[in-house]
Amino acid sequence: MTLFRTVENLSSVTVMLPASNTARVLEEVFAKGGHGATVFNSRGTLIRDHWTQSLIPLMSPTMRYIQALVPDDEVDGLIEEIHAVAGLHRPGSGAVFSIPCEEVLYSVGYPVWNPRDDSTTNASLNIHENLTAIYCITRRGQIEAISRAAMRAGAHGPVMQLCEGHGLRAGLGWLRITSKPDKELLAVVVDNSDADDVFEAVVRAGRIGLPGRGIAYRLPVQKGIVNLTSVYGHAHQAATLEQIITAIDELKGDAHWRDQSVMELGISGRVAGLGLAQSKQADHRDFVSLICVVPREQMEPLMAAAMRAQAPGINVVYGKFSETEQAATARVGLTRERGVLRTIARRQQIETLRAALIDEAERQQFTEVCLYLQTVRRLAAYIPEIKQRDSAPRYRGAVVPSHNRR
Amino acid sequence: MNSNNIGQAQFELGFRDTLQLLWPYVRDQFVDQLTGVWCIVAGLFLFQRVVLGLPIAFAGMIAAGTLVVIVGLMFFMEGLRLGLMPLGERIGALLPRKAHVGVILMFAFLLGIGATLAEPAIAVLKAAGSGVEPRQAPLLYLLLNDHANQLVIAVGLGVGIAVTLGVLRFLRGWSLKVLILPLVAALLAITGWAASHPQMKHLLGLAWDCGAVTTGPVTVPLVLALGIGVCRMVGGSDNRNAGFGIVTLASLFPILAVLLLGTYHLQRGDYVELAAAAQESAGAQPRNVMSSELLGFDSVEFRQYLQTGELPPHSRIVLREGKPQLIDGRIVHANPVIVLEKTAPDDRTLFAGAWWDPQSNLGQRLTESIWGALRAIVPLALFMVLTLRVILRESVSQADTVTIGLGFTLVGMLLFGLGIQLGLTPLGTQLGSNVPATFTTIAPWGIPGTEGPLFKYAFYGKLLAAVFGFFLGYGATLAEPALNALGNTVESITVGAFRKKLLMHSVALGVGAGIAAGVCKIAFNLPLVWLLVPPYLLLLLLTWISSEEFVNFSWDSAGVTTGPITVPLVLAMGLGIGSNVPGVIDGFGILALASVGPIISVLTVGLLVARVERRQALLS
Repeated sequence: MTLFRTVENLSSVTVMLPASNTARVLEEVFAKGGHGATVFNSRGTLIRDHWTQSLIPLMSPTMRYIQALVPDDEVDGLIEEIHAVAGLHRPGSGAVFSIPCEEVLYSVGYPVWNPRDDSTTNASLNIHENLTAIYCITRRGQIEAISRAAMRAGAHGPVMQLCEGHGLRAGLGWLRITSKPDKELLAVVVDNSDADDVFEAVVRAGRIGLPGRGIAYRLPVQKGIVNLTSVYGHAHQAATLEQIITAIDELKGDAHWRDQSVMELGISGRVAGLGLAQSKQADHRDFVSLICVVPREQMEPLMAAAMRAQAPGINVVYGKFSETEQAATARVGLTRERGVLRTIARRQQIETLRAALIDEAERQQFTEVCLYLQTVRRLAAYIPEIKQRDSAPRYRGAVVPSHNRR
Repeated sequence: MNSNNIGQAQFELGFRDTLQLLWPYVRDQFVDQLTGVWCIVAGLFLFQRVVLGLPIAFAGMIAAGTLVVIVGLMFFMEGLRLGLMPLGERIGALLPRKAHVGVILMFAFLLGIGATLAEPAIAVLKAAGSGVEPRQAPLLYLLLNDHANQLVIAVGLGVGIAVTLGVLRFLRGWSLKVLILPLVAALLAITGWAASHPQMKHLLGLAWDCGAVTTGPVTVPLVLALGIGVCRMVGGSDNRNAGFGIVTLASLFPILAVLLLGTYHLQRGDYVELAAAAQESAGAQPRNVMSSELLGFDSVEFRQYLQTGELPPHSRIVLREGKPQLIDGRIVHANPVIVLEKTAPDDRTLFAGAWWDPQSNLGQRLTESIWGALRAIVPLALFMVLTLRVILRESVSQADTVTIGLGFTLVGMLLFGLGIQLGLTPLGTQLGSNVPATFTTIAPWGIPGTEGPLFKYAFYGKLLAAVFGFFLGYGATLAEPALNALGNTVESITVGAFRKKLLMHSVALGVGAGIAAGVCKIAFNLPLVWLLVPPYLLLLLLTWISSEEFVNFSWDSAGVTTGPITVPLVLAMGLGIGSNVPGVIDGFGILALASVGPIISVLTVGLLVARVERRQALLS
């Protein structure tokens, strides 16, 4: 552990913006002392609200998905800043949210945002604290149906990225040609009150939980502002939903009327048929997501190491590392690419996985590595359990089902 | 420990488990390719059977060939995904980091030349010129026959320069528009000059077709992968057009190269003596092969008629000369010459003739395909692996799957070539030569008898032929492997926003329209320049107002479309129609038009999409 340093109190801040806006926002953020962020290409959702639109060629809007590790104290300031620069009060203009990270380890070369002197922690009223991020990773081509299901369940327009995923088949030798690593990642941020419904819709639409179908999970969002596109207008409508919302915003003078006030009613709510509380069986608190950020060219050995350490599945997204102008021009003109490796497993398995990744990174002397954990609130996936022989009670050779056991 | 592999073999699998894993994989790949190919095969079949009312000859061979094509495509596409594309992308990403600009450009140049020499489609072009007579177009004849090697080298150099320029464009961040607009303008100017020159005008079809043909299923994925790799490293913040544009340049430069080669030989004047020699031996060669095969009675039947005095079966009586008059309500034909003509037997079945072409010579075809595949894949693969190992000093990552991938590419190429020869070419040839039956009387291919014009006026028949050309182009394009690869790439680069399906169908629409125009060109014997220049002028305008991104996609898709499936089908049809229209000397030009179409259609789609996006931008 000589190469790695530990930091506490960091959050991963994610920004989803239309592509046209991104450069300007990043410039402003860097101008105020940011230290670089990873930018992923992604696409937003396109809703066809009339059947004729399926005949017209339409393209989903291009978006950027930006991620940076930021000290907790800075998060509010940063969110406020992005909110102001990107005009996030307008509907359909994007989203920004932060997810707390645990046990951040980074090596010497990895740029971590340092605390700024003038950091202001004035929590503004715009920032919501009752949000949940839902992620879903499946094979290519299924994500559109899932995103539609999510929106029908009340989500904002999800943001999709292409990514690479490896699962059990990576260990099959030459037979791994049968697995296509092309996967798609869907990310959507919803109110806590909608989270269960949306999550269930996602799981049902993608049939997550069957073998080889992918994985869906929820991460608790600490703070965020979400104003993603939800409905596209039709030429025949006088105004789109977004224009109407904007108009009401202007009339009211703020956007608070949009807040849903939801009380957590707990058991009584469910008895009353409101179903607002989170369902019980859903908490997989012992599952953790391990995230590892490295330059792209160094990703492959780490992926191999993770698979050797028996990771149940890994998922890699490649993006470009974006940094301040001075820093960029000081370097050679080449783009710096980053890969983000995600894997989800039980906490004790994550420990071994992380140890394996760190070993590999130290062996190869990678200097720009960062690893952190995020607690997964809820998980849907096909998880092959490693059966221990003779641990289960048997009756005449057959395993006694667990619900029959005393 | 091999750290390059993702994971070690953790599972021991029995034979049964292996099959269980492989079966769904093979099935999915097969179904994927089947959906691409069935459309064209069913379309051709229906046209022949329903519209023309002709049976299919050699049905067994065609069915087997189609199956082989599907299996070949399956291997080829998987091979691209596992072998060539990762290699190309890795080299592209490593080159800018490790090598000097000169080395990169040198690599690009060699890759361009190598890939062109590997492409099988160039050989096909010679077939299109098979009907060229040295008397009418000596310069064209000279290039196609005496200087065929120069032609291939000129095209190769053109592609080499194009790839070099394309990579240089990525390194310098030039806009594709800036390169295309002057280049196309120059090409149009040369074309305009050549069209007015008595010798050069015959070269135009060849030159523009060469441009369309050069970029095939081997070149395109390689060049795209290389471009994506380079762009990943050097591109700015906006990389939505990353990797594109090389294909475009690679289909424009060969046109220039061929025209320049033609001008060079024009200056040397070595075609003159050829023309003179041809003038001397100007025997009346029967150019119209089809009509010479018209049915007639042979001497045996004649003798039998003399002996028995009975009309032979399948004959009709035609009255020639004489004077028909109306006398007392009867038509009296005075002093006629009575001619007995043989007609086709009426008992036409669904499949006629042999199930298998006795002259197909499977063994020789197989050897040819094996050599073709080896020549196309092995030098390129060696070149790339050596570049990676020697110049870049990097190991091949995932060496085992890359090897499997290269093996798949080789097998796929082999089967694909074989299947095309067995299945698609006979089907295309018979249909292509039967299409003129819509407007004139011909002897159907491989079937005894004659087939008359479907319509009283040839004009409608020619229109029907053009409609058929449209569907042929549409279906064949959907099956093209290179377009498939381009579609995948476009989808990845736009993060799934521009669907592969949308791209393929808009391209297919354009190709269909282009081929329909090409059929009209040959059927009505229109000069190519009038069909070529206005669309390109429209294109220059569309290109000027379109976004950079769509300029890249659409120009590239144009270069990609005319590959090993479309080319033989279209050429067969062009030759078939051309040989039945007086005054047509070659079957060139359809392909050139087939690559203008998709540019226009994709750019139009792009403009439509841009409208939607603009509205969205206004909203937020």
